[in-house]
Order: sequence, then C-alpha cells, then structure tokens
Amino acid sequence: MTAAAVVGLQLLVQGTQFHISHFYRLLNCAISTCMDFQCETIELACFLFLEFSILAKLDCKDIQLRVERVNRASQFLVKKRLRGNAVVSEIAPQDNRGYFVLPQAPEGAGYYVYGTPPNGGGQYAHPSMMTALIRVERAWQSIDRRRFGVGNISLAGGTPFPGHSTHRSGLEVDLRPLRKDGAEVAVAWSHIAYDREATAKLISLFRSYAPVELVYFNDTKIPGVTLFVNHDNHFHVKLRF
Amino acid sequence: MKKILVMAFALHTVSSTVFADDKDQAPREPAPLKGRYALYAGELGEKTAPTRNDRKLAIEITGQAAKDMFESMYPDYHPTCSNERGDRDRRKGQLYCAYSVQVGYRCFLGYDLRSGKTIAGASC
Repeated sequence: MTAAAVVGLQLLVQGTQFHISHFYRLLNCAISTCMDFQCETIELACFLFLEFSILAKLDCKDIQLRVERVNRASQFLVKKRLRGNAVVSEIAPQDNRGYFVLPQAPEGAGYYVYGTPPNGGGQYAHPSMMTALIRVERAWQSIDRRRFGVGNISLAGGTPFPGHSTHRSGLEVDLRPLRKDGAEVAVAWSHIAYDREATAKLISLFRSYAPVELVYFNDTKIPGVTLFVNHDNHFHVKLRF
Repeated sequence: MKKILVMAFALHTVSSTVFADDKDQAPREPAPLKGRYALYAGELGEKTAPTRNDRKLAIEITGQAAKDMFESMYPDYHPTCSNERGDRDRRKGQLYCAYSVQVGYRCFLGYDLRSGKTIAGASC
C-alpha cells in the first residue's frame, strides 16, 4: 500500500485539492475494502485508491461497490499472468513524469477510448487531466447512457506527438462530439448524426468540473468554444496548469 | 541634423532589407531533410491502416528545414494552437509550421495520395 500512498500524495502535491483528513479516510477505506474483498494484488488497491481518492465527493460505500465490481471483473489495468506457481503482475503504465495512462475502457465507465497509438500509448494524462476526465465521466454517466470518446492526450514523457503541434503537457485532450445514434465513431459537427445538445452539455461539464483554459471546436452554436482550423470532428480541451 | 540622422537610419534599414532579400533569392544547395512521415486512412487523430482507396500521407519536417520554412511563411498566425507564451504558429493554406521553446521548429503538411490534393498534416 506504500505505492498507493505515494500516488495519493503525488496527486495531492500536483494540484488535487481536498483536505488531508479526507485523504487518510479514503486511504484507510481503500485498504480495508481491499482486505475485505481479498484483492489479490497490491496494484489493484493502488489503482483503486488512485482513482477514488481524487473524487472528493465519493464516500466509502462508493469505493466498496466499485472494488467489488472491479475485483470480480479482475482486469482493470491489472493483468496477471500465471507462470507455474509464480504470479507476475503489471501495474498501470506510468511515464518518467509520473503520469499514468488513462484507464482503458474500464467496465461501466461513461467514456471509451480511441486514437493512435493504441492501448493508451497516447493517453498519458497530467493528474489534473486525470481528475477532470474521471469527474466528467461520473457526472456524464448520471445524465446520459451514451459513452463519450476520449482521444489523444500525450505520449510517454511528453515527446512530440505525430500529427499534433501540442499534446505534450498531458493537459490537452481531444474528444469526439456525441452522436444522436450513440455510435462510438467520429462525427463532424455539420453531419446529420451530430448531437449538438449533448455535445454542448459535455463541454459544459468540463467547464464545471475542470480548470478549462480553452476549447477548440468549430460548432459556432456552442457557447464559449474557439473556432480553429481542423476541429470539425473533435474538440480539443486544454486545462490550465 | 536630427532629420538627417533619421533619414540615414531609414536608408540603412531599407538597404539592409533589400540586401537580405537578395541573399534569400539566391538558390541554395539542396540539403538533407529531418523529419518523419506516416501513411494512414481516415482522419488526423482518427488514423486507421491505409486501404486501397484511402491512402493519405502526413509529413512532419523538423530541424533547419522547418526553421527555414517557418521564417519564409511570415507573418505569425493567431491564435496559436498551444496558447502558450513564446510559442508561434504560421500557416499558409494547409501548410502549418509551429515553433515552441521546448521542441523548436516543426512543419506539417499532408497529401491525399489518391487524389493528389493537399490536406492538413497536423491538428493542434
């Protein structure tokens, strides 16, 4: 659980704002819950704590429910390979900045992932971005059954991203507009399948739950967006540092 | 006296500019290019494997060539993609060059290889 504490403290230092007593309460909750459900790996506890500790509004019951579900599914970033009697586990990828990859299509989440490179190779997120995406995902899931698409964030180490002039800080993310048919594919704002109302709601959730610096998107009927070339089939959200 | 000095300064500035332009107009020897390219189908940021009928090319040029291109594409384009102080963008049609303090100069261009049309080589 030392790793979980380190991650939690890192989040605390890097801008997640909630009281230290709440931090310890959630840490204790994650430990005891994992012991109750006999989580097989320390990494699972670590990841669960990482995810839930940044959601200040969640209580212990929320954590218990999620742990139970995730532990049952047994493939939530933690992959186990059995080699004879030895158990080898892999934790969520983390780069040299300490940034984690966005959880890839976790069970029951309100978002899905897309983009290249695959398997989250382009989704290393700054802690503020990770917090924002999880907060928005929670809020979105409570109002809409469709999932929203999360694309490129940054490459490991923040190296220049092919096809992007930005996306190095982990504070920028591309997202797909919502479609009326709920299909999880791209849609341009001018297309008949584009759902303006839902897309506007999603953008407003980002503004409500995250320190949004700008949103590039070419649908002029959505308030607060900045028109920018090549932003017809996705919108680009940048968070303040 | 003041007027003469101002006129002399103006003349010097103009002649320097003309001289610089003359230098730029001289053909340069071809030089190696630093960069990378990708073949893909679909859209930028939504890349899939190229198919028989959908094959696009994205080229990224870096190093001195990107700097030379950037400097030739004045003036700066606003706003910049990054919105960061010190970063600069320049655009001409689908050709896009960016300068950032951390990474330096990068230029992006693209082609639809089935039609030959120019397309964007990068988005923000």
